[in-house]
Amino acid sequence: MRARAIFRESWRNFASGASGSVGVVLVLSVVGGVLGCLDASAVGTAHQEVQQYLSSAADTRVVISTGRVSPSACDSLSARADTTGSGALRDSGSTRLPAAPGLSISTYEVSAGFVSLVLTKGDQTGMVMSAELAGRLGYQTGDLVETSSGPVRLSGVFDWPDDGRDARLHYALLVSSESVPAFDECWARIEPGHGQAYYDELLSATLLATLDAGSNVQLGQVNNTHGKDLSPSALVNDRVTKLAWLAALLGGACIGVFAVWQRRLSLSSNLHAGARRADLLATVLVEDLFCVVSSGMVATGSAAAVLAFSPFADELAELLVRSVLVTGWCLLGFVIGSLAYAATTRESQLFRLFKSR
Amino acid sequence: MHGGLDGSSDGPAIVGSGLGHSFGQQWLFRNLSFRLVAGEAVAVCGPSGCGKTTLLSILARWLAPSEGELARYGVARVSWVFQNPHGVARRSAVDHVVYPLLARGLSVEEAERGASDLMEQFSIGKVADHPFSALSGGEAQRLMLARAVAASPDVLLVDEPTAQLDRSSARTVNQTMGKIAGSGSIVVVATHDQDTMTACDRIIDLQAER
Repeated sequence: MRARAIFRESWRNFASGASGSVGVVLVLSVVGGVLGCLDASAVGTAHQEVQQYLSSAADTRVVISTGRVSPSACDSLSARADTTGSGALRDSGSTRLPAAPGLSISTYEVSAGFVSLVLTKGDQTGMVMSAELAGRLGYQTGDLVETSSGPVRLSGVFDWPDDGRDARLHYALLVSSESVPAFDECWARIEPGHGQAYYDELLSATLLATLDAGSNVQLGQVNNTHGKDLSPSALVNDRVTKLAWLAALLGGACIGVFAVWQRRLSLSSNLHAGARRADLLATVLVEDLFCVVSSGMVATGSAAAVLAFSPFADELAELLVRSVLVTGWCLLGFVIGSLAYAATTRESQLFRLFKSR
Repeated sequence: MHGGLDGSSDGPAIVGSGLGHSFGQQWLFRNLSFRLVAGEAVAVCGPSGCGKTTLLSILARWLAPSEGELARYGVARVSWVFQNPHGVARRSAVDHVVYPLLARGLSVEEAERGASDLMEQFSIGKVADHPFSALSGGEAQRLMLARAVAASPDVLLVDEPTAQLDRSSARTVNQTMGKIAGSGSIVVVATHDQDTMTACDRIIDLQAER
């Protein structure tokens, strides 16, 4: 058959619904779209879990050893590629401000790097206070805070919600100090997924050597409510829908086989009418492409709408690509299934099919 | 036009020698010998279950005979028209006839023109654009004959073409089969309709071959 004749037959079969096109497009869209959305949602959930882990400071590791933390060693951890911030801290008792003489405020001396751990913007030297405390006292960034030793400009206000993280900073004043030779704690925000031994080794390296064999060293997290560690890549790779592509491929293949099976009488009749097998396969392939394009558009559009109104809307583009990939496997399976079954159609089946009709 | 016993002729020929077919111990027919030549319309008759359709299957080589030999000469294409017309419900009537012409390599325009001509010849031109599902039994049967003819068969096997038709439609179908044979094909019709037998050149009575 000529190419135009094949296109004509395929289009008429598709447009008239003779090939069951409406049902095929609908089922392909649902199977491909649902599996795609499920996989995208699973990835979105994993991303959210990672985001929650990071935003709750669960990735901030701590070593505590009184008077043994080197501020320079601790601050320099943030120069590492897998560490996004680090700094040292020590408890300096409580402060009473003239503005609230009845209020005892926990105060900590911190190294220069520490402020960057809690404050992502603004001047990271001087004095910073937690948002809870600033709210209570009515201070904002840049205000002059009266202290017993004179007025000090408030460099910044940091959020420290009560979400399971170290509660000491929830209501605290941090004062940057460069003159402290040794701190009590080193905090470092380290990319998760490396394992506890790695964090312990990294943080222990910030401790000053001591002859006191009995000095106490504690290693831990700022917030351990989300687990000790988390591997972002493993969360995505081990998601429950990681084989969605395979399910989509097999599902698509089954749909393809069924789509050809339900019109096997008509296909064997076409062979009987003189069509070569190559003509038959070419016609089925072009019909498949019409179905693939239609189903792809419906499934992608539906997935975009579903994901746009999901909790993962802020990463719509990335998740939509994931969804489309799964849908693509489904459509590929459909083409393979339909062509494979069409290839088994024989003219001689016509008699048996007709008799069993 | 008529060939020799070896099958040599100007057109296709089929020679059956001592053909028989059985299902288990039950013989449908035995010792059946015949020679079919181009331009001939042959009726295969007998009561239901005597093996008419089975004989057509053997002629189409979709079934091997239990005994005897079948030789086909110059037969490249066999078309079969079933008792119950089978078409694609949603496709137009004319599309059913266009397809075999496209399969023969004609252009879309040539095939559409040829199909229209055939539809007129078979007196179904008026329903050319109707979907197959909207055709009457007689129209559908004539459409299937037109489709079979469009494939340019050397042998046309027709199974009970008038079984479900009214007298007028049956007469048209019988005339149509005569025309097809006249164009140089071998037409073999399984039937127990007396009018169809009368319209054919020759009769093979399977009842007599049991």
